[in-house]
Amino acid sequence: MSQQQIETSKVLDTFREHMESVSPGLPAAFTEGCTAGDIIWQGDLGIEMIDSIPKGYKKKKVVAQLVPGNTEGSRHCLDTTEGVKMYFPADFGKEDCLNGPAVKVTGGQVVQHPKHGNVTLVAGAYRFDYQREYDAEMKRQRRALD
Amino acid sequence: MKNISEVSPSIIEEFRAEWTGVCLDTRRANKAVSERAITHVYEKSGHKKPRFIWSSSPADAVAKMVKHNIAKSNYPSAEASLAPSGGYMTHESIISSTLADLKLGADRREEVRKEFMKAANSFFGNCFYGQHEWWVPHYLFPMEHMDAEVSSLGRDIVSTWATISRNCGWWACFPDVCLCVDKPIAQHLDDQQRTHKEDGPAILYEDGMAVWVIDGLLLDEKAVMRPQEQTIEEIHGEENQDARSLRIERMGWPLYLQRSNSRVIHSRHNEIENTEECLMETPAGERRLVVTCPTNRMFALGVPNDVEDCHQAQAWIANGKDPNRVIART
Repeated sequence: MSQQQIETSKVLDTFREHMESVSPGLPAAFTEGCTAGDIIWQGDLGIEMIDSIPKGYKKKKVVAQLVPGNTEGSRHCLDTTEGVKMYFPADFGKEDCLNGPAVKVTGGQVVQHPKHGNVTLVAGAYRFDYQREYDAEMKRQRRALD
Repeated sequence: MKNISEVSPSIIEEFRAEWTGVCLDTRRANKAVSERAITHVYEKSGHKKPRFIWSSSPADAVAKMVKHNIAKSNYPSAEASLAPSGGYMTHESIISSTLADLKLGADRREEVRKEFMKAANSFFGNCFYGQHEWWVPHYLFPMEHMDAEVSSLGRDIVSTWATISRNCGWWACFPDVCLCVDKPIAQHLDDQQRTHKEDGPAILYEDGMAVWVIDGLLLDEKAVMRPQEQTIEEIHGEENQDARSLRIERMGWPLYLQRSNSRVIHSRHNEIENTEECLMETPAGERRLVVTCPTNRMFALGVPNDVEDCHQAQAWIANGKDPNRVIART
């Protein structure tokens, strides 16, 4: 085994030990003390407290699911649409769009997911955005070159 | 001729469903109808009715070309390139599986391999795709639903080809012989209509010839069914970049990073998110942020090559969100 493989093994062993110590699905919450710019990641969904709805977002019918698609990974959903106003960016749902909806909520709404812990929102405005995916971006670039 | 917008959407949908059904049909070929239609094509192009040889799969068709010594003079170019096609179904993959059954000595094996390769080039070089022939509905729709002006000969040709598509798998024509292949017994697509199956062959023929495809990318049996047994050499030997990434995903990034001699660039414990993070570089120079997740899983997320530590990697992945403002991760 090479030195690099030994080092990689050590790191991965640390990871495995760490994972054994973690209780999955623990909840998180925004509090009254949070300010605009604070972020909670629910898996690959970034939930950011904001001052106001971003420019260019249009108010539309409220939907519970915050990520387009029908895979388990996309099932980040509000537990209720009561007390929620929802706004969407113009290119929402396009393959390369990393911006999800933004909301104004009265407080107490919960973002749920089958695998990740719940995230509770306090009254205010939030935007939901998605992680960048390097592999998907490279794939799109290759496709554009073909 | 009508504009497509003048055609009722329900007719378009019905036509699409019908031809998707033709493409995915796994019933046995109707040999009598196929032979009549193909004979008609031969006659229209000035040839006599050919001798028909039916095969259960494309691999079987190639083997039959060799076995029956189908007029070597019929090979379009006896010196056709011996290089694999690099296409969706490589000649090499078909020939390797066929040769594996023959138990030949090394000297004879190479000779037979060349013979099979010639036959494969000849078969695929003369092949029509029967039920998978995309252009047939392309011409049939305007003829049937848009009042396209088509000569009686053109109408006859398109209708005959449609009959072949509805009844036959792939077929290859030579002046006096026609090799026809039966339809697969299984074909699987994903919700994007790409050939796809994660726990078995995406396409399977009656004689066992299997085509292993995930997300429309051609793989092999090992990559689909026993991905952790893939060797690093097999993965690095994959020329298609998308297929290579898929092979690694199937093996699992942690295992790949460990086996491939990847280099640890930076690692840290992220106190706020309560995760372990490690930036690694593969032998090919790709960088990956390996992270634990509060759901007890491990991910290896791709980042650009100029990312130098875990913090920069998190910033890139976070799509402009400041990693310093993260208060929790679930």
